Amino acid sequence: MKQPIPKTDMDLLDKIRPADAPDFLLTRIMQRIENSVIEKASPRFLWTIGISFALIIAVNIIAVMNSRQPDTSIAESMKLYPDNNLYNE
Amino acid sequence: MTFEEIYHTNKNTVYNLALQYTQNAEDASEIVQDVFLAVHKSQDNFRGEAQLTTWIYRITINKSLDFLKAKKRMKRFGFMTSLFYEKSGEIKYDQQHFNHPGVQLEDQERIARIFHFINQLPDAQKTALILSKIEHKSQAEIAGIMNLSAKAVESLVQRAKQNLAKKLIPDEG
Repeated sequence: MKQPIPKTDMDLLDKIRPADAPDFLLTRIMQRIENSVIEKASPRFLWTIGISFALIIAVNIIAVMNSRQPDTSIAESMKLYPDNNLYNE
Repeated sequence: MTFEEIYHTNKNTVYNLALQYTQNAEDASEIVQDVFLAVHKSQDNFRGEAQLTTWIYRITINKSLDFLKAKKRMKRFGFMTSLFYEKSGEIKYDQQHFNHPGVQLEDQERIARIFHFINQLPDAQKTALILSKIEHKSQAEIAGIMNLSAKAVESLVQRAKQNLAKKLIPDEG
């Protein structure tokens, strides 16, 4: 069976007193801030990685461009006769 | 204003507001940390102290509500796992532990009961009631924090009080 609740029960909320935040909180917050700074990569590091990738891609493009040879067959490039017919030699 | 000055000025406000939502000292401490991490990230965007204080109130309310939602989700997950692993002995999340350092021991049971009903109110009513009845903020201050008109705040507080009163009055018969 439920106990009757006095109408003034809501007024009990006035009896709640302000509490002080624990002292250790600032240390924990500063620790978490430091950790988040460490986790975040520095802009200098990000620029170095970016420039390195750009250089690798540029070197690869240059290498591919330079490796293109004129369209000559192997026989021509080695100055061989490109025909199998030996009788008309 | 340095971060540490902001912290020392507002730490108790944030802690107490978080306590009114969670009614648990450990949970409130978690929320305080989250709030001040967010403050640290965005403190440069705020010039006036009044603007900063209002924003700190808002972020505390949002973080507290998010925390409670996350806790509810974990509670549901705990229930689901308990269906499958009945004898696992894992910690269940349905233990409502009232640990409010601002409440005297002799009032604890009755105030815990009131908070039980406050927690069932819709978020806006709950926030309006906490700010007005427990934090003793003026209607204009609440309007600023909740980004509502004074009329809307008045109506929210009124509805919250009515709903709470209905729940507090025991069933006849």
